[in-house]
Amino acid sequence: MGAVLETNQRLRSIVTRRSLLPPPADREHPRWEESWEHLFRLYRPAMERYVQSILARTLGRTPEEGEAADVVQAYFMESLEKGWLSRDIGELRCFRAYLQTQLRRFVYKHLEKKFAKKRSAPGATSHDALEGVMGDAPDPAAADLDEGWVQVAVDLALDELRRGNADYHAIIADLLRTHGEGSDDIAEQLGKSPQQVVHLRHRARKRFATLFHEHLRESVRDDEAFDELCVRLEAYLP
Amino acid sequence: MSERPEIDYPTDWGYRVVGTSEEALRALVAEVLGDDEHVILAVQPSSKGAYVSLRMTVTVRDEAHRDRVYQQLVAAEVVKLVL
Repeated sequence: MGAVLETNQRLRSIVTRRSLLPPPADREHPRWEESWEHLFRLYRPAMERYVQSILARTLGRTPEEGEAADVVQAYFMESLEKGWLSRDIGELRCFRAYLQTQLRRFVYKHLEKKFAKKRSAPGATSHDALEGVMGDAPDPAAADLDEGWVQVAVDLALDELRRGNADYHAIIADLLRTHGEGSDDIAEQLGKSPQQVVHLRHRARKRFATLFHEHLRESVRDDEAFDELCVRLEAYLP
Repeated sequence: MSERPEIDYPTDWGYRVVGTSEEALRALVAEVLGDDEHVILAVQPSSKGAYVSLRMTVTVRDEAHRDRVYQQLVAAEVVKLVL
């Protein structure tokens, strides 16, 4: 558990929003596609970060500017075109896990095409590099997806704080900047007494934790998947 | 883990608009942006051609302008998604 969020035990008592993934019985409902698109839009920065990481590791260099964004965009269009949204989402318990599998496969195909075009070019990457993308070894880029996932949830929670309570937002932004320590002059900045800041910090952290977990909860189907996701992301929690 | 960086406006902001027709997307962009400075950088069809994405930059004056452009694009029927 990070320096800004409260203890895991207390977080588990927070009643979170429902999942955005509808139950399997609603599979034919158009809401499937809406949910998928909504989550896709929210977590796109994490997806790009993940794709960027796979590309960099496989190519052995920084990818061309915008390449990761192009791949994610192409993946979205392919999902629409091939009906993956309605076909696959029925079995989906965790949107993050689904995306990891899907994107890994998609990036593999993207690189296959890219290498095929450059086969005769000097320095073209060998087939071994591609094996690293889809091989049996643990996915080394998964950490980037996890970190990106946390960052998206943090950003969403911060945006909500900013809209709802400027003091809470300032307190949490300060705690994030200082890795949970808090600036010495935050009371002065906010025009509050040190004692007021102590109370404000407590309430702001509680509110931030609630919002953060609500957003994470939306991307999984049930409590069990939520707990699994929290454990998976623990190393990156703020 | 830190807060988002401050953005200095005006700035060139990138949008990727996914829809079903290049012609319709171009018409929408013209309607939404009017005289606002913008550049369409690329148009990319999907593998079977059923969808098309249009990548562009718009010189946005402030956050409200940036959000307004986004909302107007999202609200259009011809648009599937704005990234």
